[in-house]
Amino acid sequence: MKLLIVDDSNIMQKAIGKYLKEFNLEIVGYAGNGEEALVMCERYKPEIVTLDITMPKMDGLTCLEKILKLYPETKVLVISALKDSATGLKALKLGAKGFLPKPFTPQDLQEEIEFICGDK
Amino acid sequence: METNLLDILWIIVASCLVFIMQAGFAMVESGLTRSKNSINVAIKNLTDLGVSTIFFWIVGFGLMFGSSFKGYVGNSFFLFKAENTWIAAFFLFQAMFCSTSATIVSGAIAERVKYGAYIVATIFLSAVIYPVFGHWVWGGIVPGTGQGWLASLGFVDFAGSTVVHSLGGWVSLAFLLIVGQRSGRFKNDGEIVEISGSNIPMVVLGVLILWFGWFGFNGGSTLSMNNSVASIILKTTLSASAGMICTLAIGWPMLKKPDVTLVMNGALAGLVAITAPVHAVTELQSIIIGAVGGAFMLISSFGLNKLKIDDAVGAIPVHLVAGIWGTLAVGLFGDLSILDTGLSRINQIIIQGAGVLSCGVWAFGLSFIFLKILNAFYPLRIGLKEEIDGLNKSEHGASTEIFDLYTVLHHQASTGDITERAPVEPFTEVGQIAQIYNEVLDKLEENTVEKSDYLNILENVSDGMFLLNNKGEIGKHYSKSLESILEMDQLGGKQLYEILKSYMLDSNMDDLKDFISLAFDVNTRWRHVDRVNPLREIDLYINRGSGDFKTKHLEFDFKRIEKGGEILNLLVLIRDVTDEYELNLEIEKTREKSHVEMELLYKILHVEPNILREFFSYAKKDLVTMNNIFQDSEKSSRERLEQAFRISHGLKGDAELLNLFFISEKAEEIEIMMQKMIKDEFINRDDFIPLTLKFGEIQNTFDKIESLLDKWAGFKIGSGNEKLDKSRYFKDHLVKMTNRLAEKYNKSVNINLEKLSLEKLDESQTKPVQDILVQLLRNSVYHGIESSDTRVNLGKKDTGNISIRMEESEDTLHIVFSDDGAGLNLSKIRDKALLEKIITKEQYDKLSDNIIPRLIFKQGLSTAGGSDSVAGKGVGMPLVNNLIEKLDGSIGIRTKSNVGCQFILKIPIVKNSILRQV
Amino acid sequence: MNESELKAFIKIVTEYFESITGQPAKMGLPFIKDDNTDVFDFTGVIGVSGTRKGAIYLSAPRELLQEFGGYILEGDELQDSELYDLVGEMTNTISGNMREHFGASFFISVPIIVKGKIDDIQLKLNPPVYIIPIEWQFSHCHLAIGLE
Repeated sequence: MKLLIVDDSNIMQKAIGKYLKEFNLEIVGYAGNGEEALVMCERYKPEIVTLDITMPKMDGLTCLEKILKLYPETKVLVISALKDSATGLKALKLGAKGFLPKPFTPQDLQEEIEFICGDK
Repeated sequence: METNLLDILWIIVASCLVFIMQAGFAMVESGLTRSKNSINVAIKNLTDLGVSTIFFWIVGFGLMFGSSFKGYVGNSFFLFKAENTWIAAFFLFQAMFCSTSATIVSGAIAERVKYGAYIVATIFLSAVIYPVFGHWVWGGIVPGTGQGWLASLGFVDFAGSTVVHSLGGWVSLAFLLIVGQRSGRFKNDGEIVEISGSNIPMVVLGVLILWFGWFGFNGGSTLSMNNSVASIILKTTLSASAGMICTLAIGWPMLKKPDVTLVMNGALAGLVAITAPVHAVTELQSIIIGAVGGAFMLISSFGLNKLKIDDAVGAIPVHLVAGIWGTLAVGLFGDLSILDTGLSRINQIIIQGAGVLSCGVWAFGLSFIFLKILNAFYPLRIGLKEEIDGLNKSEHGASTEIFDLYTVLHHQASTGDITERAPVEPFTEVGQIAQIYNEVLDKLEENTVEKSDYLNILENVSDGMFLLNNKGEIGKHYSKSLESILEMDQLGGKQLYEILKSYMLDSNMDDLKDFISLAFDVNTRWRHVDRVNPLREIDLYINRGSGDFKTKHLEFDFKRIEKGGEILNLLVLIRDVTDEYELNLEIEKTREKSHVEMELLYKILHVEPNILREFFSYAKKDLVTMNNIFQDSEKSSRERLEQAFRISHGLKGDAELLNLFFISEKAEEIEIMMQKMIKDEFINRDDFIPLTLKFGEIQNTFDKIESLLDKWAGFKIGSGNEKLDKSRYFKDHLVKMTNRLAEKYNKSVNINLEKLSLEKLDESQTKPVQDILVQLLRNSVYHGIESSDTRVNLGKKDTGNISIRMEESEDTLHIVFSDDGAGLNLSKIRDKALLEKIITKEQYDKLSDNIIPRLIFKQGLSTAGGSDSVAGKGVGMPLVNNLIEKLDGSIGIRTKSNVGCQFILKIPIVKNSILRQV
Repeated sequence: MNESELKAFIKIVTEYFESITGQPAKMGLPFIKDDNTDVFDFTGVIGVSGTRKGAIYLSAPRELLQEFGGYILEGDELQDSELYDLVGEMTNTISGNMREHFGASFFISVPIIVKGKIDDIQLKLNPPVYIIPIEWQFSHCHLAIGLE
């Protein structure tokens, strides 16, 4: 399956990529903001997207809405430091398959991805 | 000739019928042409009647029916006088024929020829061409005048297919070849541009009138009311009908439509064709003649188009071509016995052909030459502009309503100015159109003005303004300011909700959705909806990136736009009141601040500004020192706490000295917190949090006071008396402090400061010395001086005495602090020291009375029962000790139970200080 | 600021360190920021708006970031450029987590990163600014909170 990682932090992009190494996922790209993410979604049509919220240019929630409008089948995992329940709720309401608050451990992320992939 | 009145009546009636044909021609020709020329065409028809009649009277009739000169031309009856009834009727009849011939020309050349030129041509036709040729065929009808040469050859043209119609057609052809086509009739590639007639129903009526007139034209040509009249009229009608049907039958499939001109010109062709042979053919033959005439007419009209000869009404195909055919048909079909020319059919046909040819040569040739010459001197054709404007206007200055309307429309189209209104003639159709058009224009102009006003407003209004539809979308036109208020472009068609979503709190967004749906609900009264406007006053948080947020304070105002009980839109006004709001906030803050400052001012007003300034400079330093102690991560938490504790105690003392209770109280709170923490075995770092917050508070207060002091008028860095003043104020405050403490502990104390002067101290020494004295004074009032009752019981005066004096030796200042109180309680101090683990049990046993007083300088030792802001924390004396160390001095204690206690401070005199004094 | 808010910040920071690295972090003694207060090598600043206004920053020395980043990337060395990134991400995580305490109307901006001493950061801080030193693995960093 194709994976797109969206986070404005390079470290987090790397970390997420690393934590998911053991999964049979092809990382098609890393995007640093919502606009980039949209372009990559159009180009690579990833099946799974991990999506940060607080980002420059276009925030994650706006981006989420746009991705799902174009490709409703995309499984989006929102990963954000915004820990309040309202933000998580909003993400899920917009159609995200999961919400993982930062900080997280490799195990947290792996469980979340497993759960999402199993959810057919 | 015998005068038969019935015959004369018939000729008169026939003349009337032919006269009526003028009306028919006028209707056909003006109906087939454009309305801009209609008047011109119609007036030509009337004019040629008058002109031709006069010239026919002057010369025409003479040339035609006068005594024949060798069969070529008549030469009597000029300036005709009716010698008898018959000839009068005959003249009338013939004059009408002449006019008819002239009228044919007017239709063909319509819409392009000068009115004057046409009149000249008409004169020439009626005075020369028509009568001369007419003589050739019909000369000799008036008895005793002699036959024309064509008639003598056996040429027969019963009622004028050639004499009247073809001749008119020939002249038309000559005319057309000279003046050419109407502008725009043929495109460059030869394609025909149809010019539609202005009034076809009138054309049809015209044709009917012509048909009717033809009964006289043909029927009257018998010149007597005889047996053949009815049959002639019948055959005329049959031929007309056949011409019409045949043309229609051929033309309809060809043109793929039953063109109007097919029907009318078909009928006319049938009429023209039957005119020559009508008296000598059968009914069937007349039908054939009519039908073939129609066919020739149709074919020839196509031919003319091919040749780009622009015959406006089809006069040449109808009158010339059908006329030729009719003339030839005399030879083809005519009953030779009725023709009575004595010729064989072949010869008859040849003679008919010769007649046709001679007409062509004469009429076409002569008129062509004549018109060509005329054209050279007097151009026949009008100019292009006049043609475009129409002959009504250019030739006659006459106008029709439709032309006026057209003029206005044209003006508007070319200038874009729609303020002009079309002229309204209320009793005409066009006038009514113009009136409605004007109304449309009024509305349009009103709307256009309204719209441009509206857009103008949107461009300039400083508020955000737009229409919101029931889907929550912003309308196409919105005020320019809206973009800057919402910090977003291209707002038209966007969802208001979506735009605000990122700027606003979620709770407000849900309310907004509900509000909009309510606002569009007709069943809800607006006054109720308006009351629950969730955006009446709202804060938007706009993230501009790079870490700063702009908070905008906006006011939203909604209004329903209703029409016919339906809510079309909401008019939304957004006012950006951020500046006002912030100004108000600022004013409120300033007010609050000045309130706080006033309060502070009351609290510090009693202190001399220099003293106050000094206090705060020290107090701030203390605060910074304390903060630095916490920042310094080298030392242990406990050490840092103890250090900070001492500083805070000193700060409190200073504040008390100046009666600044609002500060001493806060310092007290901090002290209590710190004391509690020090007492615990393990220092819990979390406990530092409230402490830090407290520091924050004090710092805030200090900042406020500092700014207040800066503002304080007359606050100046001192004069030469500064030291003196300071000393006096310090002493004042020591007295006040003594009184306050005495009052607090219900004691009676007198303080003597006569021999104290701080001037001797170096600047750097003043503050520590002051601090030491404050601590000693505090201790003395609390611990040393007994209550009045106790003192009386002990035989002392009820008022206790404290004195502070200063003595000077060579290099040392001696400050002696004495009281006449209880003295130090040595056993209590020893016990407490053991309890607080300041000394061991071993030391306890061995301690001499000389050493015990020094224990009071140890941290944590206080003999007070409980602790309050003055005593009991065991911090005052250690602070004194610290300060003495700092001053590089020493302190001695003398104490005697129930007699008193004395502290002797020895402080080195700072050299430069002395120098300065010298 | 009140005690519970300040405590919430401390809790978030210390738990953050521990959850990522398994090594506990300890709060040092908090104090008020003054003119003498230094910042470390890298500082990530986040603007705050909505229910609270002001700014928060996390300032940390190179070594601490190197080590902390090593935990996140499971042992990989961090480039100098990545240290900026990391301090921003850390500030973002801490202030983002504060939404749990302050609610969804606690708006935070995208972080800006400052290397070395910068006065500008003070502009957005609302005084008094509370400094919470963090002790972790023999090194220190601190979180500054300047909210109205």
